[in-house]
Amino acid sequence: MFRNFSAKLFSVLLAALIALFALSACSAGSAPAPSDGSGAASESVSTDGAEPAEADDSPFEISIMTRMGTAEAPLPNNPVITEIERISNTKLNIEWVPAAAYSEKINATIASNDYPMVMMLENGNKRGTVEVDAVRAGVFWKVGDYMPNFDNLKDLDPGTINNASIDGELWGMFRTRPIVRNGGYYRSDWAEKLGFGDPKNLDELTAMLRAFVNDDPDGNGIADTGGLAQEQSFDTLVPMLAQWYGIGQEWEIVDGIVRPAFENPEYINMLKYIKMLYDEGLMNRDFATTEATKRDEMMAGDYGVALVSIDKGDLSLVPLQQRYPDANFNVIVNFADSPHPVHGRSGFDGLYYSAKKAVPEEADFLRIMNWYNVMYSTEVNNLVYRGFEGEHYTKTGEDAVSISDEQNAKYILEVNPMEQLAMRFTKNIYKVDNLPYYNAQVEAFFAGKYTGQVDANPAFSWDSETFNEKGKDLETIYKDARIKFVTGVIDEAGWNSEIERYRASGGTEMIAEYQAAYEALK
Amino acid sequence: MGNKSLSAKLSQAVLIAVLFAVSVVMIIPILHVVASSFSSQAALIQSKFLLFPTDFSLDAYKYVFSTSTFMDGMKISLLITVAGTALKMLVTLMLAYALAHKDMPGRKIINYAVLITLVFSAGMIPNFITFTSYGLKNSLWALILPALIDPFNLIVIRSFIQEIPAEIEESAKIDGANDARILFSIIVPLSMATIATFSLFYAVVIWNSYFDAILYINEAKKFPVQVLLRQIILLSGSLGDSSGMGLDFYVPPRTVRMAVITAATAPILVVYPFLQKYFAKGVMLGSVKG
Amino acid sequence: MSQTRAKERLASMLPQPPRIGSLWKRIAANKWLYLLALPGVLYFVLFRYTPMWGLLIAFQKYNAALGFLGSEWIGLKNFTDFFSSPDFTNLFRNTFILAIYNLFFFFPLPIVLALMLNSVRSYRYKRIVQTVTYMPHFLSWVIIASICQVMFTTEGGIINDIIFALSGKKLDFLTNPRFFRGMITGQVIWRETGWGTIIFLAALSGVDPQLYDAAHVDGANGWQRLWSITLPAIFGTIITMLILRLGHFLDTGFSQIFLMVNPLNRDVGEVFDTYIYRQGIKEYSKLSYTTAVGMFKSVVGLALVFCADRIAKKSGSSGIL
Repeated sequence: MFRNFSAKLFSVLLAALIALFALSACSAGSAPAPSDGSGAASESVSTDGAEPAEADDSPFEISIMTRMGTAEAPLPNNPVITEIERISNTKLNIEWVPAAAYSEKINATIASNDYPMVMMLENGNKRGTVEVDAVRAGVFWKVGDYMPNFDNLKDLDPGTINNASIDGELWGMFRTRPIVRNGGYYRSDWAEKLGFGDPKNLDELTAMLRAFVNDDPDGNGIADTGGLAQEQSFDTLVPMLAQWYGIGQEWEIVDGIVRPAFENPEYINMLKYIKMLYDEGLMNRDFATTEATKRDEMMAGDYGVALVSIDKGDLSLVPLQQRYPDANFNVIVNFADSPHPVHGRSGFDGLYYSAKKAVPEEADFLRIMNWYNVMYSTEVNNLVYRGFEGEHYTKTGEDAVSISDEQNAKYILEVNPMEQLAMRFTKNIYKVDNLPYYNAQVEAFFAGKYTGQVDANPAFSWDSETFNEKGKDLETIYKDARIKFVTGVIDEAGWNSEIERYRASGGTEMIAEYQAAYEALK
Repeated sequence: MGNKSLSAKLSQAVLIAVLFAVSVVMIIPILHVVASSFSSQAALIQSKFLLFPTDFSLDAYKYVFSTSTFMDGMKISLLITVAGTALKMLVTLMLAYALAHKDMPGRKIINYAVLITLVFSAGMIPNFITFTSYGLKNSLWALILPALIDPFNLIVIRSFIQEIPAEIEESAKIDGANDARILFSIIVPLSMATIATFSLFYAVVIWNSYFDAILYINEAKKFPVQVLLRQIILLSGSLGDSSGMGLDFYVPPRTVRMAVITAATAPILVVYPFLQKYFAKGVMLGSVKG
Repeated sequence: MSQTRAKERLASMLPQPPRIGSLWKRIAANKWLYLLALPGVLYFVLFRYTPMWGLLIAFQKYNAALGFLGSEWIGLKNFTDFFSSPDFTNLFRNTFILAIYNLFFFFPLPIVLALMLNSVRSYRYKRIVQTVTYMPHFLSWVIIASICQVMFTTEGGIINDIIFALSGKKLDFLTNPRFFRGMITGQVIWRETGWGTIIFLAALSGVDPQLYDAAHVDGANGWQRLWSITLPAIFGTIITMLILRLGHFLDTGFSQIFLMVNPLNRDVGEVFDTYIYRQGIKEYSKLSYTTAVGMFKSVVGLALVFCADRIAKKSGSSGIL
């Protein structure tokens, strides 16, 4: 009958399909064949088993996968890359992956077992589960074991190393970034006109904000100036204010007890301060829907203060000076009167991991470590951050340079993408003379003045199962609650009940797990 | 008679007015994007909501075209869109035609199988693992083959073909034509509106693809233009998870964002007017009578 | 159309003679059809069904580094976790309501617009309006969200300026939960109505103009022509589109919602797709969990399609199966 035939056909097809599934599942579990040679990302090393002691002087090929930080990938004959290759005797096959799908690409790379020799893993505020899983599965070489053998790598900041470690060991080569990264920018021309200097404490900041809003600093007779330009994320606002209130970053350790920062009794006072700014109109009332670039644009003429990442201040400056040539910024890293240390970040952004699958020989991994060593040198650092003398800058002193507009254009094209390769952002970089907002604070920051006084988020290297499961959700609870409190949607009682919800939804377990992690690593 | 033509005229007038209002609402944000791309960054910041180029400036476009990336991307996009659409349309049409025959054994199973893929998809990672095992890594085919047939398109085209009167096919069969011949010489000319529609749908999907390009392709020179566009938009700071972004990014001004959108979208926009002639009324009918 | 269908149904109800012999004959007779179908079927097998082992990840605790074969099997735990999580009711409610809004407020509009365009006499006007209305589809949600921010903000947004001038009040469109669903649906309407007319216009182009002429001679006015000629002609298309749309009933589209959600409207804004994103992307790749959630959506969609198809068949349409 027709029906029977249908059923038979169907079951035969089903069986065939199941066989097909099984076949491809098997090939998915094991390492599939390497991709066809046209891809740059998975070329394997060809040292032909040469011993490190033998003089194999041919450039060592390294395939690197990293994130694109600019709109376009560097052209193949980029002079900075060529120079790095010459100095380090390597041939770099860099796969620049657009940020739009970077984490998915990493996930897919790990899942398909098809690694480049060096792979950059991003880090947000916390180590990711994919990274941790891969490390624990033994996929990578342990960088920490080899670091002491290299000149430029043996004295790196222990706090940063700690933050970059997983289970107490360092598995990837981190890209050092400034630890102190937040800065408060304010319009120095407005401040001067109204009689203000660097705000030394919170009251002075508030007075300045009031003056910016009410006292017509641009002198045009219209009340069109704003105070604090704030975007929807409090990720730079809160750390900067917390410095004044003596609150830790995200997590605090008080008398050996670990607690979230919002359990500090001063936290609610800080929130009330922000709320005051909102209620009085000293900050833009639509901050909850303001994107970061909009905030940058607000700084370029209409608003007087912004708390941002310190190395991004110049974004607003160019459009600002197009509109008002005499306008300028000053920047502070902390209130001068503040008795509390500056809040630092993790000290790195991204780590380079080498999978054993792609680098089977230890000798080859040593050559990669050597490349890291070269990348950490002052010479390469300046190359990567400043470019070539003459083409991208003109030297004006021992340690200082100046950059013309023409040089800047070349810089953006040729040098700027290299920031993604940059390994060390330190005091050794040439300072740029004609950076308009350059002042004592920034100089001090570059000179490492704050290194000793920095308070980091201790939770960075703590591991917690609950965090992996629900960390993001829990974070959302209190971060949302902050915003709702500031905008008046909930009151103090509402804030407290949100904190209760945090605890009830897994917060209590997480705090306990962090306590255990802290004690284990002490 | 007089009354009827008056009310007919009135309804035409109302129709035209309503359509005009709709068009205005639709076009205002578009004007904003295009106008912003031709303005200076300072003008954009200062204005409330730009609708006409202010402080006319080609800086944004100069930036976009300053390297060959944009044009290279365009060439790739054109290539995969034209070739991909043709291939996808062909394969889809062939299958849809076959499935339109109710007396074809096995038809039901295939229909169910297609329907299931309409709602179930394996997921990005299993797809990636499977397709790279086919050798699609770093290949432009990765932008065409995985979505070769869209089940939605297939089902709708099939239902359109099913509405073509059976007599047409029967008379062709009597004349000795086989199914393939019937498809290409008779059904296709009768289905030009359908073919135009779904070619457009396929073309737009291919044209807009950027995610798969990033995932499967390793070499920047093989990226379609939408990858560049997405990168610029992302760097310009979109809403959402801004805290997740790394801190090392250079941010292009907003005018550049607008310029890339305009330049990357313009080519596909001009396709539709050319296809409109296929939507003229009564396209199908001549052959039944004739 | 329905006459032939009625005849077929009648024929299939009569006792059938054994057909195995004639079955092979039918296959042979249709060999061209099989040939034509071959590339398509191959595609589905290789590119749609072969990777479906990935759905089994939903029953694992997937670890990317260990791979599919190395990851632990946990049965239905992902599903039970999901259904019992405190977020579930909220997510379901938000997703469901948005889906309903979409169905009732958005779905009819492309049809209405297509009918309007079809009734316009001036061919040139029709072409211009068509081209303008399909442009919004090409703007990505990122840009649309950004433009909405600029237009609707309470601090100097142009829409609020107008409202303020007229009424002395400002409306917090972007942050008040009351406005969220309207905003989302409004954005979808703006972006997709014009694009959605294309398919209906294609269907309308198949209508014999002689039918209209005959009706005109019979004295039918515009509305009557619409009701008895135009609508029946595209009725099948409408039903097909409706059924297919139900397959994606719980898909709200991640980008659009994600961009418009903020802490102040998250209660109504968080849907399955944004939830999946937050759980499954970047550092927190919980692929198993998100696969399970996706599977849930797919099963619901499939069930809806089957039901809708049944109903459609019962009321005389041909449905899609």
